[in-house]
Amino acid sequence: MRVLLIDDEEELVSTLAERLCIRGFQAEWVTDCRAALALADEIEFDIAVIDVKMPGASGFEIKKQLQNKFNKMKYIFLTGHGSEDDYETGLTEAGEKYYLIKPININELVKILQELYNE
Amino acid sequence: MNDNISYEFGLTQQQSLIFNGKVTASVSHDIKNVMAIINENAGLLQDISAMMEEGFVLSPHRLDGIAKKIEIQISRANEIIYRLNRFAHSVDEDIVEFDIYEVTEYMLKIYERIAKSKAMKINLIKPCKNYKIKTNLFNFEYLIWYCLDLILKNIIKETNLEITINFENQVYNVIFNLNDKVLDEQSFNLFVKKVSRILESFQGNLILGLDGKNFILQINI
Repeated sequence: MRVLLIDDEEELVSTLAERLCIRGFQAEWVTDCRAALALADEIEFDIAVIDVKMPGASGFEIKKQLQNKFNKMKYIFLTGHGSEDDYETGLTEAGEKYYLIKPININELVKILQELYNE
Repeated sequence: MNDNISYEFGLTQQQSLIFNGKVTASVSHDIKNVMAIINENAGLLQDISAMMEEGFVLSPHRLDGIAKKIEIQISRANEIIYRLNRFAHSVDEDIVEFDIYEVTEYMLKIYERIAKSKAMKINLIKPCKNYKIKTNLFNFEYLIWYCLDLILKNIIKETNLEITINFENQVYNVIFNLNDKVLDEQSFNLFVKKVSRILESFQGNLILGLDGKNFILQINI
């Protein structure tokens, strides 16, 4: 399974990618929307895991941009905090199941990735 | 801070509480990010430990690298908490002497994540001299925060903000310079009205540049 991780916290996203690779995923990471679109042009990702709060464009906006180009890609959102506004939008955009609050439990993420991939 | 004191210095208790809430919400988000990174690195150590039990050979440098990453995040968290603590103590005394640059700098650090969310880059220029004033610190912090917020609410694309501090004609100036026209007179005047009572307590003023690319916070004490 090919997973694209998008988060502006480089230390977080690089480590998360490494942990997913250890678990057998092909995980790549980027820290902004532009890089995400460029990498998705090169690699056909199955799932994108996107941080909601990103500089410039929100995670939901990034999803829309990816969705316009790559209609088969599926999405999971990450958030650092559970503000009510974000939570409501997250539920609408991703559904409760695919909206995770940091710090993430890697086993939970792996389970969700597999479930979403098999949907 | 009780109601009378806060009112005397320009802020109602409600305004103070809202401001406190905004600052603590921003700081808690920063701390959460740090915790998330520590969590992933601790998890990576567990992953590696499990792999080593299965015979995976690892260079000690790899483990050292992960430990250093955790150390960096702990140091980052320490700075965040230091700033929060400094902010929390800003209501200890009604009138206190402080350095305008130092306070502006830590308020910018607290605001940094919010600015980053709208791709606003801030550069604070360190003045050649120390400009110390004696007034209500909390109100000054409030003004700096809401000046930044005024800009942030009006930007629609990546924006660079440069802040300089000087002392001219017996007035302290905090100058907000933008690389683009961001502010219109109407929203600026509304903002001035909102903070007028605090400005009065500083015998201060807010002046919008003609091109909408800069404004000056003047403090005359």
